[in-house]
Amino acid sequence: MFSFLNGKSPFDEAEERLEAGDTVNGKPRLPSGPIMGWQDGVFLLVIVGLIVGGYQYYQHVKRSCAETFAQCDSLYVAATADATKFAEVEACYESTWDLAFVSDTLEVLRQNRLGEIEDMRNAQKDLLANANDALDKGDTAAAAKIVTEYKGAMLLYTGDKSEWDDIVKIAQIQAAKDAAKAVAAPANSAADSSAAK
Amino acid sequence: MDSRLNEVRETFANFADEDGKWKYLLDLARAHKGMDAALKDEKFIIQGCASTMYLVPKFDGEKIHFEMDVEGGTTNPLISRGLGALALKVYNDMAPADILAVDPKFFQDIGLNVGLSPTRSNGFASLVKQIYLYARVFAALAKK
Repeated sequence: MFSFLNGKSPFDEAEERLEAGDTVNGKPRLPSGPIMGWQDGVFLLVIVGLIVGGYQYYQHVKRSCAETFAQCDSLYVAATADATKFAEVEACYESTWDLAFVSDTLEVLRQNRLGEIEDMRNAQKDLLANANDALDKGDTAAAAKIVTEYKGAMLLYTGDKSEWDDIVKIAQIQAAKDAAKAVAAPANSAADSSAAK
Repeated sequence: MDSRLNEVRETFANFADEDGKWKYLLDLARAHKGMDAALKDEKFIIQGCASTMYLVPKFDGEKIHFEMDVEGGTTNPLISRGLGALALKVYNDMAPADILAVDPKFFQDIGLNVGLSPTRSNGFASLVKQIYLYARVFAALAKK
């Protein structure tokens, strides 16, 4: 059993010394040996090491958790000025799921910000549905307008994203055609006017 | 029935700030027990939720017992689960007629929707709508 006094009660020891006549001024002589054996010392060191190590590890995990959340927070602040960065904000908060020791305040923040981004994703999904409706009606100009006017982050998942990208390509072709028409129009009118002369 | 509503109403009235509400939902979510995986059938999924929410009703001829669970893939949808748990706190183990007697605007009146993202707000509305639908169906069955 662990004991600082090698298993002996100080009262027993004092009594033994009195009985043996080992006294100083009528009082039992105080023990002069080590207060604990080396095994007890090693055990004590291990316990202290575990406590200190555990505390240090806890502090380290807590600090790295706070640092990651602070990084996500600064990304979020940047995204409020540049909406295209919300995908990065989402990725940052998604990376925090493996962290331990997330306080309730940080949990609320994470849930609310991811909820906000989910709302943005749903809004982009609605835009995609509107663009697809326009395409179904043969109105490529309207579909192109929807995707080109969108200034937010690409938050759509694979299937929806490829649909969106296809409409972006259509929009680019549409824009190129419009540009060609715009260039051709003055040239044609110039040709017409010189022919008239 | 009124005591349940009053309890929830009082809880919401006592939140010092918005944070209190979110932390309450987190607590509800953490305390909520999930459901048996075998019960998680596609037909029990609540449509319109950001996460996959299951609501399974069981009618014993008198009361409806609901089981609810939320899955969010790699994420942990604590707020959604908390909202589900809050709905169950009000409607679970109630007679269909008692459920139908609760004004569905109850949650709006206590301020639950304030600060709630539109997606979660819509998801919660879908959940409550589904509870009332089950209540109507079971009320009709009980009359037969």
